Amino acid sequence: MTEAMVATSASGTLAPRRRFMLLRRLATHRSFQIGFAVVLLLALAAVFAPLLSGLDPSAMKVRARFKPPSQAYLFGTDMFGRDIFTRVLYGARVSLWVGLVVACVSGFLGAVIGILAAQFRALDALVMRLMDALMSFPAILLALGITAALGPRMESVIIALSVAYVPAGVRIVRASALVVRELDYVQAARIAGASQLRIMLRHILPNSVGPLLVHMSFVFAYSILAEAALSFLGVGVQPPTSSWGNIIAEGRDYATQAWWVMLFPGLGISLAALGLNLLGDGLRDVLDPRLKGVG
Amino acid sequence: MNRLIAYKIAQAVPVVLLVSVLAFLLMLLMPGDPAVVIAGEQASPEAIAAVRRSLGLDRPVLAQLGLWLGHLAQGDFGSSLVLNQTVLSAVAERLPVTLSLTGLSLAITLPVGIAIGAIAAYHRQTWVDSLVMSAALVGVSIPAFWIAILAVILFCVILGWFPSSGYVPLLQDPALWLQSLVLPAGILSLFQIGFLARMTRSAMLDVLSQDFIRTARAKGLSEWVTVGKHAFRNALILVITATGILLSAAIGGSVVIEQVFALPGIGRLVVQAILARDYPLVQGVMLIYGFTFVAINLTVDLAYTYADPRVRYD
Repeated sequence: MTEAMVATSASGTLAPRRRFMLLRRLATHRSFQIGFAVVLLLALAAVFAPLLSGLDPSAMKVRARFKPPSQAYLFGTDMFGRDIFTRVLYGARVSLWVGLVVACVSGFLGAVIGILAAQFRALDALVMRLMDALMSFPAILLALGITAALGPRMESVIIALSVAYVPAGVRIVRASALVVRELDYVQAARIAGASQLRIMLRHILPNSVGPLLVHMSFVFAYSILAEAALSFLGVGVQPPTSSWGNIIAEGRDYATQAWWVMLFPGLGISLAALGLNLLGDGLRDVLDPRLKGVG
Repeated sequence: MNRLIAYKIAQAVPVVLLVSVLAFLLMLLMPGDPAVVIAGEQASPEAIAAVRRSLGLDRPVLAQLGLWLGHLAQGDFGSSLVLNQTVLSAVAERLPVTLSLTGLSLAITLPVGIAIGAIAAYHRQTWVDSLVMSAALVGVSIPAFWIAILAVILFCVILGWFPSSGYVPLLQDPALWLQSLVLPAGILSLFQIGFLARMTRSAMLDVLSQDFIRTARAKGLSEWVTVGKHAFRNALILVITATGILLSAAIGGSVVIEQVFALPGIGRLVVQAILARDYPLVQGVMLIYGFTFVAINLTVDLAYTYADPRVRYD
């Protein structure tokens, strides 16, 4: 009893300090710094797109077709005379939004399903076989199939990619939950009469958050790449709404004459994915040191 | 060993069944009445009713599922609405292209990715390591279809080294076959090389820090034998798993690459089927993909158990 009390009070005072330490270690982690700066910059550019460019992303100007990058048109113009800089800014809104929502939704569902599967063993076999079935597909193909059924829209892309990335999250959370639920302090909580819900939320979930966050930052990066690929193929976000993927698709036919149309959105995708991968690497080194350096 | 194989195969059976059910559900997800979509907006009510009857859409969902599974059990994956072909023959026709592309890509990825990862691990925390790992990170961050278009402009349009599109069968002319596929396969490999290099590096680091490596060094084995033989062989076990992931990822990536290079493979088939709303074809091809991936995973699982005797089923 005294032991338990000592443990609680000790963890009570240690927890905030430990969290603070993690934040400090994150703040000094080189690749996290770079990744965070890149992602923040892109996010700000997306949010403040209307302020950064006074133009309408779909305003056409026939006389200004295929203008190369210049002072007036920073990234040049496309076959309809639309400003590529503006389109890339507004495309960032779509692409980053899709990535963010997919990371959050798949992470949330992964946590819920993963913990339930670990806690209620009867569910486990069925859920995990279903996850195996979903996971046997590469995400891009699974998403392709689902968007084919749901129709080419941004919402379909979000749903499709969320479904595609849930199984990996489930596996991560379930794996750590299976370890944690056997630990002494969880057993102690159970004996002390803690409810199933309290054990899941208060004791098991916090231990899975680290690996899950790392996973989510990579899912964010993958989703941006996948959304771009789907929109490029014509099954994702549809014109006239600009997304990085469909600007490239539109610029592709004129790539030899007007290289700038497809160059800049591609740089946007690469930069966003690179930033998120760096950020994820940093998060992993700090939150999940056992996995240091794993691809 | 035989028991183990039987166990693994038995475990794959429900997954195969689930994949089939998922492919069936894909059809149900379709917005609107599938019969109207398939028959066309202008079709007469009789034509729509005929389509509905021929597809069994007028029956209850469970009966439809039974029918679908029954057809599958007889090897009937359905027929394309547009191509006037069965799904199986459409896929078989395009299989060589996709196999060539993914096979060649894997042949590039494996040696390059492993070598890069091993070199980085051996020179850990030096400039070699950071250079190689930065390159690997860039490799997994650049969209393949974008770099593919840029590569077409550079190598095909400006330099004229490769044809920008099209495919020549291997048996027809091996040299042209290689020439038509080197660029797409190389681009497809970029992401995979980055992925494999990162994976190999961490596996090598893991092995290099173990006791038996210290022992090997202490007893005076040459560095080459220590790293090349003792460490590398142990890290290779992980490569088996990686190969499975890479093969699946290459098939996934081939969908986009085939589209950019206009290669008449399965990936291009499925994208065109989606754009043409040829739903039975989409469904059939997805199902074949699913079976392929389950088979790949099963093979990897078995190879892994064979290569590392410590792995036994739980």
